[in-house]
Amino acid sequence: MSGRKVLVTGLGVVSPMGSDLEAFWDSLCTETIPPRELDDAFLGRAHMDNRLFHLVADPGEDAIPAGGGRATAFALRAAEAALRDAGLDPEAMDGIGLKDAVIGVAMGTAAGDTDAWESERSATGGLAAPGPFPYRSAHAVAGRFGLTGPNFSVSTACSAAGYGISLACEAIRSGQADVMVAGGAESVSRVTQGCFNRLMALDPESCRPFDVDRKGTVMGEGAAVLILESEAHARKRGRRAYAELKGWGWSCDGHNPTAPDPAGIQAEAALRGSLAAAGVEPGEVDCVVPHGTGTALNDSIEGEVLARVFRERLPGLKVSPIKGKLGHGAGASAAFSCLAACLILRTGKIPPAGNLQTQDPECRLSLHRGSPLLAKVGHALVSSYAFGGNNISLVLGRPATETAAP
Amino acid sequence: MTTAVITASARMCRESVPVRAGAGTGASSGDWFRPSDYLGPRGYRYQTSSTRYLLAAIKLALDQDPDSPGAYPESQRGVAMGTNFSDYDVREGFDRGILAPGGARNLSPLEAPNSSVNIPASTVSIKHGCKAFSLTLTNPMVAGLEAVLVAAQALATGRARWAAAGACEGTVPERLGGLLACDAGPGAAATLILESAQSAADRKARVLGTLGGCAARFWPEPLWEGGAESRAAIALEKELDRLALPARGSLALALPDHPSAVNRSLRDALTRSLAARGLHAAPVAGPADDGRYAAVSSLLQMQSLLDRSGPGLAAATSPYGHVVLVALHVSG
Repeated sequence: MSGRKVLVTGLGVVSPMGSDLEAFWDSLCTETIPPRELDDAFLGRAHMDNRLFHLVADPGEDAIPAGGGRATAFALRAAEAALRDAGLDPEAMDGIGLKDAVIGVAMGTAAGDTDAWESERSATGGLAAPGPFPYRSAHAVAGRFGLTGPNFSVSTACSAAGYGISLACEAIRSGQADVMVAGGAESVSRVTQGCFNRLMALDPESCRPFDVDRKGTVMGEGAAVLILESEAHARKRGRRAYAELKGWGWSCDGHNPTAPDPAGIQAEAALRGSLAAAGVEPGEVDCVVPHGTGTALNDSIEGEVLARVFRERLPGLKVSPIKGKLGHGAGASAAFSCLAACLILRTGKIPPAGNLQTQDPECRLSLHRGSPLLAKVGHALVSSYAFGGNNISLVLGRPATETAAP
Repeated sequence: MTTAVITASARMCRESVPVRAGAGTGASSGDWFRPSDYLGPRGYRYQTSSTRYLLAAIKLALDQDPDSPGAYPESQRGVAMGTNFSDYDVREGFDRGILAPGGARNLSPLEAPNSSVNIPASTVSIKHGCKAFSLTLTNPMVAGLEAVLVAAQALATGRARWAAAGACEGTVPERLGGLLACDAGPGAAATLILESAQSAADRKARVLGTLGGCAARFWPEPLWEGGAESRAAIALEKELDRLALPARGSLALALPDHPSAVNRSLRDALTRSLAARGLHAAPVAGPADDGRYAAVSSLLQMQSLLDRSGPGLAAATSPYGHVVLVALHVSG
């Protein structure tokens, strides 16, 4: 799809590793915080063999909107931070689109605000009575900040935020919006934790992407939001961009409700599609923020797909799996990955893999431990996969021109 | 940009199937639907009600055009579905099981994937080889019409040449009925088969209608204050300009009727604005006009546009401020 260039001009995050962008980034580059056991406030005394989870340390529960859950509270906080980071004052915004710009919202989430329904059932968690609809983040953000442009709530399971971001980009490219607030939000859910227990998809120790001893993932929560903006609008405001979102590729395995296609054919198609849409050759990609969940099959397939696409370039391609540190943010995870890719492009720092002890020899990727790598990164690739085989890859590049902030 | 056309349309709701002897009529009754009538004797044991309704609706749609979707490679087929509550009864049942003695071990591993709201669309992808994309949208009330919008855009930009677009719901919670002042529906599904116009012409497919412009906006209640002079009404004029509606005559209008200020305001503004453009808005009735089927309601109403030839406009609102508009021209 050709059309207007899409720039990332603001970032906001609420995460288990901090809810201030600078602190989050420092922590992601230097620390690995272990998951904690969910207590009865979340699980309502339900028995679960595996209670490990990466919780947001400062959830700001007083900010939970009436009828909503933690995911929407996270989305609101991350969106406000992202708007401020982009120089769009949330208190002074008039997003009607008649005078200035059309600003919309696209949020991805897997379980939405279903924690509010769970809280009501077990009389735990301290959340107010749920509203009539369980997916509220997108319209809560739009309503709070007066964003009257296109509004999408996407729920393609764990790749939801990637699809939300791509729909937001398409709204800008097609001229339906000038600015989009896009990302993902997810919160702890008793049902999700229970289902992942039953599916034997959780690691009893930690999330260890691409480690030979990995035994599954560890879930996490939070929100990550990107301010996407047409190049013309960003230039008019004199904003410096973190990155250009250059292309994205969609596909679906059509294989199994939970298991990915072991051949990775459609994951590869999405990856190649994103490169083609971006007009970027594999040799121009310097860094990958992979899906990297720590589940045996996902990581093996993803490693093989990267090997097939990048071939002889693979040893030099830096791979930075962030779920070892953040946990698996489910529907928000691709937003965390895109946000990390933006910061990699801006700072030239590539975060190390968390919990990597012995790399799986089947995953012939260039991973690093300990300290962040310093490198000039021209293009970064983000991939995200999900239950139902919903694949997406996105290509982000350094912005061609960087105008100084006013 | 490629135009999308509608080549099949089908629904599965209590109002659309013949009443069987002994079938229940309560709001939560599923007796009206017998999956084996549509899905064969087996293979759906672990599927949710919303997935079954959706598969049945798609089967009925494909029965209208047996060459579809096989005329297209799997890489050119996609699915986009809207839903608000496909996972509602599933998650509620799972949660009650988790809270009982035994905890998470009470869950069936075969059913656990159904906790994910995208499973109905994903099941369609698996069954019908839709490998270009599988999208699930969840905005309140409008998600079904949004799915049509997103699928049409995906066809327009070349992501696919064939798409199943629509909506499905399982049990709609009773508290929604309170909001909409109606009985919450037991669940339903509706689907449109969309194809790129050129591809449909190449295979000489029967075309029911042609999609025109689409718009998705968020205009909450305060923006409607001031009637014709309100900021939302002025913004609506701009969107109607973009939809490329006919110059004059009659325009069939499909808009589920539920008692929210946004819904009333949009209806008034559309009627007023269309009249000013020389267009007479002719409301169409659907099998359930009051929004009882949540995200499916706007699809059911849009399908009613296909019963009469000429221009039409499908619209949907949420009580929060979502507004979705999809223009189409129904073939004679």
